Amino acid sequence: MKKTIRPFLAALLSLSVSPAAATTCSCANVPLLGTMELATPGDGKWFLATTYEFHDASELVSGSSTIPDNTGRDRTSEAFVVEVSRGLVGQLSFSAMLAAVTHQRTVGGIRDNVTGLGDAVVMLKYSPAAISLYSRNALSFGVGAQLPVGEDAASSGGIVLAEDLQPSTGAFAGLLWVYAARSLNDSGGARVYASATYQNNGENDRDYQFGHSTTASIGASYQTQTPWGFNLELLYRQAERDERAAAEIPNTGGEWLDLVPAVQYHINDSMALRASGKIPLTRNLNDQLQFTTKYAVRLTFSWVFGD
Amino acid sequence: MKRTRTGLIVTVTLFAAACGGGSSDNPPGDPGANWTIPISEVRDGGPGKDGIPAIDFAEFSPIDSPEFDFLLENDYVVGVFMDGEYRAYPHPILNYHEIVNEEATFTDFVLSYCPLTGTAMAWDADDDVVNSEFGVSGLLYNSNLLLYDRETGSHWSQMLERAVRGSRVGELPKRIQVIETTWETWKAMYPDSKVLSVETGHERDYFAYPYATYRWDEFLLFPISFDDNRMHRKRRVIGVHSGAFSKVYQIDAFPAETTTLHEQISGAPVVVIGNSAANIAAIYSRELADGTVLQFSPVQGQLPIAMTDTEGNEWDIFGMAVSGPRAGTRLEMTNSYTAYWFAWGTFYLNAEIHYN
Repeated sequence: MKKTIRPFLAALLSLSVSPAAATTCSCANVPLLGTMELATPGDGKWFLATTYEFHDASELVSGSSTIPDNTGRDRTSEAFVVEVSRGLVGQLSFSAMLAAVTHQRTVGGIRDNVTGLGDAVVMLKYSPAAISLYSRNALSFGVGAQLPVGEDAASSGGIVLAEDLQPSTGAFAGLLWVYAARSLNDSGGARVYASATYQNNGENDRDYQFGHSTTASIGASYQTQTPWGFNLELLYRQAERDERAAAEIPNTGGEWLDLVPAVQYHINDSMALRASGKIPLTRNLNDQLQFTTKYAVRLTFSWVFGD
Repeated sequence: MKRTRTGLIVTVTLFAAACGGGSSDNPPGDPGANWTIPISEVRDGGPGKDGIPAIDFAEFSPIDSPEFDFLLENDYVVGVFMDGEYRAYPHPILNYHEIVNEEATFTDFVLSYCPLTGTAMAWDADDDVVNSEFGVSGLLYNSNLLLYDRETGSHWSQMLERAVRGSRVGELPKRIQVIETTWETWKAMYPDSKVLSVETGHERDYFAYPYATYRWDEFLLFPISFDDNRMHRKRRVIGVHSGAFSKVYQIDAFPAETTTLHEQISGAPVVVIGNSAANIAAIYSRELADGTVLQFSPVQGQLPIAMTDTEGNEWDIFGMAVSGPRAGTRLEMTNSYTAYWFAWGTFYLNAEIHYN
């Protein structure tokens, strides 16, 4: 049991830095690091994950250059995410996620603080190949939707706050996801993987549309003979400019390349803790001034159960 | 930064408070939320209060300084004549700061520029009404800058030219004449003037326009309450308003030589000066304090001298008599300024358009 569950859990957790997560919480051009594990539990199994994420988006960037900002500005987001995945019949599984988000904008000692439900995500996944005794390869596809179930018209002093301060985007979105992995050893504890996601965003009630985005990642994970495991990922994201009433919004969108290291600890055969960070490597952002990711950290508790 | 939540405690708090909502720290002395404009039309621009930093310690350099080599001949500047000195404030710098809290030799004033509506204003900051420095509130009304004064926290609509929230609601600032024209024209008119330095205390790429194609495209970044489609939204006009009446003049529709138009605005005689080649315009009252109503004729090729009158005075673009029996007299300002057409059209409904 121990030998089988741990690699399975490790495999699930290796997916937890999937860039698809970047699309699921409203943070405008400063998406949260990750909010959806995108696990693919087997037939009859449940996967439950809760994640806390802190995202510091206080870096002022012009194109690819960081520039000093003397405004004393801090822009942070926090998210608490619950995700449930369930293995369905055959090679199908289903995931659902809901987030609560707090955005905070502080400039010169003046602070705007917003808390509310974020977007929900549902995804149906098909996994024609899984790493097993007979295969070293895994392949999964997913199609999903972002549902604007949360708060998208939060106000302060009666004034509706900017879109990037809203917990929810207020818009539907379509999601496509693909994941592939290859085990490097017989146990499946060492593996390399790649994944990609495309998100096509709709327009909310205020005619605002976050830019469509594409993310891609490559990474490697290693589960030691101890409860500890490690993961390192390169994460690329490209986002188009946001739009309002079909007009492109300057200073939104661009390209980001981040390094995402992670460490995980298996509490027992079915539960694990995982900590990860997001370190910007380079970016090339549209137009002249964007506040973007300085760093992000995430802590996830996950539990696999069921038959 | 003061973080109020950390760790797992945060997660509990987040879910417990997940009904949604926002809060804001009020600035010291903020008197409350008594807006006199529709609050539903006040927008959060995104950067937050002071997220666009005003220039508080403006430095100036000679007009021929190499630091201004980045300016293009057709870049716009806002010109001011104050306490005997001409000063120019280039749009490429103002795009990133929007407000300059200025200390001239004798008079403090605040100069503001809204890149989204293309409007520049200068208000006397030494008088009893204003008496404060200003900052960028981060809020917009009809896409136009809302300033806040640092003395009371009151919000001021730039284009309405009055306080719209706070203890100074309804108060009108004392305006100072500004002239908007191109860098090329300004240099030719005032070669000895000083220019706002790029040494603003903030590191910005002033050469780069921060709003992509906004200056000439048809799109707006924020909703407006009324979209008057009689002209292209970004057409630059000079408008004048009096009571419920307003009238605009397309700057690029003036002849390519200096032109003077004698107009009546709500019964008051004004002169409209325009020159499309120089990309310059201004509107002044024709009636002097002694009741005299002047008749003007344009002067060609001598800007900043723009016109003469039947008494033999010569007047410059700032409305100052520079020679003649009334030398030193200034024409009375009107409620006029340059703006993108969409902005004028939404603030001043049913504006009359002058067609040449």
